[in-house]
Amino acid sequence: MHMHRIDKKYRLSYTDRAKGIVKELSLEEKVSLMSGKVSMVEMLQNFSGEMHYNYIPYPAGGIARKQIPELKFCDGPRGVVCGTGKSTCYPVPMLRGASFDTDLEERIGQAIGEEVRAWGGNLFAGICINLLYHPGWGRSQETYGEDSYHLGKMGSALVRGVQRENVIPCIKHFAFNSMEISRFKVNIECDKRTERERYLPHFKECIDNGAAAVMSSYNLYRGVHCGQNRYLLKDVLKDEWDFDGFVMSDFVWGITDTVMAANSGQDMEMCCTSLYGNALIKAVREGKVPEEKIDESAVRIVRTLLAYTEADQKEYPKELIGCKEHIALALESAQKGITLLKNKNHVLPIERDRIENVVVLGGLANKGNLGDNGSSRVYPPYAISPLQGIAKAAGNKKVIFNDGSDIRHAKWLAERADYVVFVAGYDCNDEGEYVSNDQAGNYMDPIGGDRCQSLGLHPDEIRLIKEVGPVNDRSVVILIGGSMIMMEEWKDYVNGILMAYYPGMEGGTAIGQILFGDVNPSGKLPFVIPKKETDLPEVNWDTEKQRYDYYHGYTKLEKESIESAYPYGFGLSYTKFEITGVYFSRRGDAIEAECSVKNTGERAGAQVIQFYVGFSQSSEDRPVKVLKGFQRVPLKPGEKKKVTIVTPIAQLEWFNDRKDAWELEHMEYDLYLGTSSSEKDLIQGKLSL
Amino acid sequence: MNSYIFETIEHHKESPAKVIITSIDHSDYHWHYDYELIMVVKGEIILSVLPEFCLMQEGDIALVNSKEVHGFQNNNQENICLIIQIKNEFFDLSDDKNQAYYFYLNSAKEAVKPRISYTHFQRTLAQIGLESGHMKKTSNLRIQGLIYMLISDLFDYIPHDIQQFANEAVQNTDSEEVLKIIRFIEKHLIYDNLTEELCKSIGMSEKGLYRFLKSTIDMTLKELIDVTRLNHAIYLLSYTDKDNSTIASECGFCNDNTFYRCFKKMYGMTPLVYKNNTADDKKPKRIKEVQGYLDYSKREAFQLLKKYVEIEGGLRLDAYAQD
Repeated sequence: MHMHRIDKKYRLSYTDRAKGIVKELSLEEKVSLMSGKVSMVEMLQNFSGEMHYNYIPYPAGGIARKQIPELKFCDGPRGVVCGTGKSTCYPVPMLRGASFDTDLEERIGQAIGEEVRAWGGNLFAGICINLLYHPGWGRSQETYGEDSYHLGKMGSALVRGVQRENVIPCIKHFAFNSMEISRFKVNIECDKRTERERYLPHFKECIDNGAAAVMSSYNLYRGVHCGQNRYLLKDVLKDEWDFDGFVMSDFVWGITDTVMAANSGQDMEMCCTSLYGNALIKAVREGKVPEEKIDESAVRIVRTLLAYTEADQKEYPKELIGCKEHIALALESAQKGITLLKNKNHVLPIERDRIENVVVLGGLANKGNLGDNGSSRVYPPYAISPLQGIAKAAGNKKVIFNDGSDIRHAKWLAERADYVVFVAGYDCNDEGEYVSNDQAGNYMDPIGGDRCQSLGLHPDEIRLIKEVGPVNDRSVVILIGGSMIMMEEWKDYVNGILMAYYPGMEGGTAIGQILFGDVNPSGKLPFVIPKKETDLPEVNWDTEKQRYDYYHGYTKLEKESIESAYPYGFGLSYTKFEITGVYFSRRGDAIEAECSVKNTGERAGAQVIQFYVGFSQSSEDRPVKVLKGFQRVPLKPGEKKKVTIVTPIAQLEWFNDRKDAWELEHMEYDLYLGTSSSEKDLIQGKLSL
Repeated sequence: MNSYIFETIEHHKESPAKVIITSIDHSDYHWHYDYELIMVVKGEIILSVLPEFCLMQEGDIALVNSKEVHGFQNNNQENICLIIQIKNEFFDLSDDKNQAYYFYLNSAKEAVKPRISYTHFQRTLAQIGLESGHMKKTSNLRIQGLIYMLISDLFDYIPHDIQQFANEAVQNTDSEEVLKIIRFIEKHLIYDNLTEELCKSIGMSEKGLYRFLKSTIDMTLKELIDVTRLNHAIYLLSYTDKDNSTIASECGFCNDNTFYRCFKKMYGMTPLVYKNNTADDKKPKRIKEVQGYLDYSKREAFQLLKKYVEIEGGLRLDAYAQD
């Protein structure tokens, strides 16, 4: 059996055959390839009992007698959405981003690819790489973080992984989709430099790594819906980037105008046929859409589907779905992404042999909390709650849970406890995908959305931590949530803080293992935690227009010399690392940053070495520094490894609006290597280019 | 001392609970799977749920949790108690079979207060007690309804914790182990090397035993031994004419002074005062019964229960107001 490793070249080898097939098709047949085959009625019927959105892979196109396979759409990203009680549920991408582990993300991609195949799917649309412009974004859990470079690396790792199983990797939402409740109506404005340096590079990176489908976003960009935005779909994606795959619309409300969509390069209306189908045939007949446009879309769709479906004849048994290897990967991911932020007086890890009991406070502890209930919801066979995980790790030690609603009682418990673990944060009611009633009927419960009111914990959680935390020296907080949670108000009231994101079906297990030191935490924040919400860019969540600024996240705080509570890339370990021999040099078209990392402590651990480039000598308005490389390094106690990070010099270029071109400044660059974006954690060097 | 490992509680086929109205003489430490609610209708009893003792007076209500090691004794007064034992499976709200609910309901203690007034629970318990005395065909149905109400009220208004176990294997052993330790101490009160013998008997190191007791009943071994000795002393004071020196040595106290000191600390009076307070006519007649429950007047009990049902004229919404 011959297996092809799919890449663009391989896909293009199907061009002639695709053209030949398309040539034989009638207009009606060609147009039928260009939309989803799920009826709105069917879709709503799916929302009852154990059925749900994407319960089975959603079909589109396909003409059996012409040997054109159907597209079979599977959503994600925290696993495969299909089925109930079966698929593996991984941690959300934000946690996976915190692992800074592209190899692991690729393995997750491959495991997801296997499950997509086992469900009978051939496309995975769970590669969400929207920039975390502001952590209030309700769906921030679905993406990897606030930095475009990091986003591109993590997203393309998932692309490669999914591709290994010959599943079409579909990246989304193209583009500027960083707000939720206004997503159908908001018009995004930003200058071209911001567009090029901040919002598009990670999409390009994923396409260069083989993404073969792109889902357009709901929002508007410069006055035009992205689903029918000629500039984005045709000029940038297909012409400039030479994208060979096809574009699909986000579901149901992704396009608003048949002619405009078809002419702008929208290849496929998902997931129901509404504005395409007969309306598109009519538009072609009336001369409003040239038939060549239809031919081009049809060729892209047929070529891509043939390339992937003919790449292997492998059978994927149902037993692969939720198999123990995949679940082990979900656990590994949680172990590597959960981030230790505070560990005063080495309050953690808990020494099992020296304690009798642990008191766990806060309702979220008793909940297997996988994230929101939107289109990314995966239905695994089980989900280990933090409480269950702590009990598993505690062995025969007593683990007592109380929801914390009675502060007096919580104090009474805390006074008697050897350790107090608060579990606080969010669930699907607080943040997530949102469809309002007027827009969508009963499509989804109108809960979640953006965090419009506050980025902090709920008032009752803050009160509980502030009143009960100080009762016991050994108090730690575990945070559950899709991205940044403000902690300034309460962080001094406890000695330990662990950010657990939404850690997947084995998340509780990982939390327990980390608390008890069976696993050494190694996650790093993929976003900055500010001291004040006002340090972040201003966003009007319920709005028809929003401007995205050039600066956001850590680059904004650094530019304005504002100290963060915890910097981007920050995360503690139970062991210590020593970095020596930092050396920067030019090697042809690349910069090499190298150093040695040694684990000087007594436990095995992993450190993420981060490479930042600074622009203090620039004559332009440029960030203080930005991430341009990273490598995760696992180290045994006493072990030392050499790390070399290679970054193409092109990564240092800036986009000159005035000349509409990328340019390299010839000057001395500040180069940094270290363990977070804070200058305290970095060793600085210089290099002239 | 009568002894039994744990109460086997037989339930009516269709009923989630067993309702008992009785007078309590004395029951040794024991445990059962059922959750047990006690309301003192008349007189006083001492409820001991290690490490604590509490004096329950007329009107007091308390809940003993599933598998919690506990014991009762009368406080040298006639008493009538309403006891409702509810199958633990009715408390099984969680999908996770490795979780056990622990409620904090004891009106005789200051520690944790419910979110609604005790009178609400008194009334429900009294209604259940009264229904149990009826011969009507609907009584069983009505009791079931009231029991479900009671369980819901416990979950909604009584502070409660969940004990999370790693798996089923570790779940059931603790109470049995504690009981085994108590039994051993009871039998060997006068041993000089009690600790050593105990460790040998149960196969734990002294350190291991210390930790086990601390985590299960929050007591040190010394405290547990003292409590067991005093328990026995109360029995001897109440039912025998032995003098204090004899009692002290039979209970394993090294001298009379230690006995006095410990007794006073625990009960707030000297052994002599305790003994003298118990006038002969007040002393309950000891009836040999497996459960240690005494005879009582049914009529009197129902008269007293009615009082609680009539307090606020049946269910009223203000009973749910926050405390």
